[in-house]
Amino acid sequence: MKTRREFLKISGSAGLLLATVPWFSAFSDSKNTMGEKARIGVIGPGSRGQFLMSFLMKNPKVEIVAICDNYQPSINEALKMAPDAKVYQDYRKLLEDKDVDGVVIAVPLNIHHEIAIAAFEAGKHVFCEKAMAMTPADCLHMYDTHKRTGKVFFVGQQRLFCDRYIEAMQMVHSGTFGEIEGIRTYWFRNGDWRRPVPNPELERKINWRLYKEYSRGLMTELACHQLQIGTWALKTIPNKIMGHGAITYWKDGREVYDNVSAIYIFDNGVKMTFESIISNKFYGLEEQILGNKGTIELEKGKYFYETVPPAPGFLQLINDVEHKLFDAIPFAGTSWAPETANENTGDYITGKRPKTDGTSVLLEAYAEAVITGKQPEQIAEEGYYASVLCLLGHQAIEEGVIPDFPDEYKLDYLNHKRATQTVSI
Amino acid sequence: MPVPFINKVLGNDKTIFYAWFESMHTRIDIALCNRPEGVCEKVIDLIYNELQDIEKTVNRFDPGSELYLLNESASVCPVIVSPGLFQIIKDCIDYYEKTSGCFDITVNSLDSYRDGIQGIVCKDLNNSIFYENPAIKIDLGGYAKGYALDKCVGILRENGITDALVNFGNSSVFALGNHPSGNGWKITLPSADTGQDSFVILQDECLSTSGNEEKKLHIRSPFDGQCIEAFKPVSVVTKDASSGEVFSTASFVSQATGREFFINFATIKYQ
Repeated sequence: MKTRREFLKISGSAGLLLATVPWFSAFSDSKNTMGEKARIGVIGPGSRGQFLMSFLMKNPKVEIVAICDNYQPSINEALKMAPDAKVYQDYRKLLEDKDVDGVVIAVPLNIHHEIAIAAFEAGKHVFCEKAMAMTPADCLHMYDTHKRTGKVFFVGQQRLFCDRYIEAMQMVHSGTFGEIEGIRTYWFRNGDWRRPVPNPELERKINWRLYKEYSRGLMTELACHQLQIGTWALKTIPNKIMGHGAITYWKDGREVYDNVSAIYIFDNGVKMTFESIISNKFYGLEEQILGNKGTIELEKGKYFYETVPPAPGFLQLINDVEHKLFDAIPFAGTSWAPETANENTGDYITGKRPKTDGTSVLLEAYAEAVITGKQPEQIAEEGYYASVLCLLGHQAIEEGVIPDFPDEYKLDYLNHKRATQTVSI
Repeated sequence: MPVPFINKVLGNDKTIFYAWFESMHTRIDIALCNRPEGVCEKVIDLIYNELQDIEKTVNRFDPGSELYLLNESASVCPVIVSPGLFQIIKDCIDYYEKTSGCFDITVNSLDSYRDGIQGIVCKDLNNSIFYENPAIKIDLGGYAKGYALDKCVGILRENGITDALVNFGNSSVFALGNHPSGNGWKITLPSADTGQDSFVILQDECLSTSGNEEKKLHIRSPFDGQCIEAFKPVSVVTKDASSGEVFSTASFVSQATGREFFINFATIKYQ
């Protein structure tokens, strides 16, 4: 598991890093917070919640002081990880607990909003799994409540903290791949997306992702991972959205689509697409950034140049220069000719095969912010737009098109200016 | 097609800019030190365009090139060529003399025609070239890269770049000035014996290598027209890339027997 310290070493100086990841300001006090503890309550320690707990438990600056769930099997599993945690059935009771500084919310989507608002009002810092909420209005309400209460707010967008994404964005922002002409994201699976249900009465509780009352389906559960890439790469928010969705294969009583496609159009005409089919897995999942000089595949962690790839000897030279080394450069030899060039298999962004997805660093950042009480820059805004873009995508799928990003959901962020009359509190 | 590049800003006004592209049937890698990105981009553009022009002149396979036209017509009547091509051919004839015939731009003439260089008539008065036999064909494949590399270095110097490394398809490497952390540039020698580091330090010098790639024979001997069946490459260090190209080829062609002679012109690194 890569720790933040190792990560900073790899990524070079902190100054360069902050231009691409302003939210790394979360770590600016990390020396001063040595020995301090973020006391965390986990609301919804189901499969995702336990996954998050597995990272929190490894952080010496975190103490999981409470857990809350109304499903006993989840409580039992979570207690194996955090045996000293207090157990609550009702999140409101957990929020009254003075020993809890901040919460981690990993419940079904439809109750994110209610619990997050209550947590802010109770004076707790909030880490909420993505997507934020069921509607853009609820997302805005959560964002505004975070601003008004001054409590820390994170949405679980782990790619914002993943080394290869950050490195790739630095390359994108410095023009390595030229003008960005398109972004393609897709997530293909071949499975019914169901969890085993011990008792038919629990179907909707356990398989909440499949029902409209609790979820927006593939858009809120999968697209929210990927659509934020566009905003991050282009530093702008798309304006027009088109989409379509249908149930084409899994006609098993589910209500959410198993086959969706959405197009997000930026003001300059560049488009970002999201596509998901869960009855064919051949292409897997990927986020592709297409520039006129090259392509990045973020999931694979690779980049490809349109023409000849850079020479490994020169990349080593750059690395040597960065580390003030004066080493011999290996490339001289008999002539290179195009026919002897290898096919374009690309290169790893970080120099090696990807291992982590950023979740551990994301949770480290949250712990730091809970201890200091300082909101890292732009993290709430990035989370907000990632969720709102998914939800507007869902709306476009229902209505066919959203011609303009609605003014009432704009924040003062990037190319957006907030309409003054729309304060949702 | 825009040229891709990487520019790393290292602080204290130190930067390293790296651009690469394909040109003249090979890959070009250029690292420039401590100059603003905009300047580097402009210089790379100048170099890119210069190489396109050179290729348009010297590619004997391109029916639109000047050399193609020359090879097709010069045995019929004298052909007036551009001053650039005229000078290249005259220089190559000089190098034929200097290398006792080991470097010969007519080695790939038709029907194994030998001593073609003797049948080239250059007239300074009007930059015209005449071939005395229709079998004579000029092939600048073993020279053009060195010539082009010298042009690149000229562009770098004209634009105030003092520290740079330029690689032409691995067989010609020119090092200008210094590496950001050392004196000169340290280049590993090709096919260096494993187990011990073998490198040269270049400073305003060129390292040129000639040899056959993995048993693919491509260098012909001007003396018998046959491909040379040897695989150990020869590298030479020279002050300019053109002569490096010439003397590495000549050293490879002459093998052990004639190399000592070339020490007058180049530092020869035996492999």
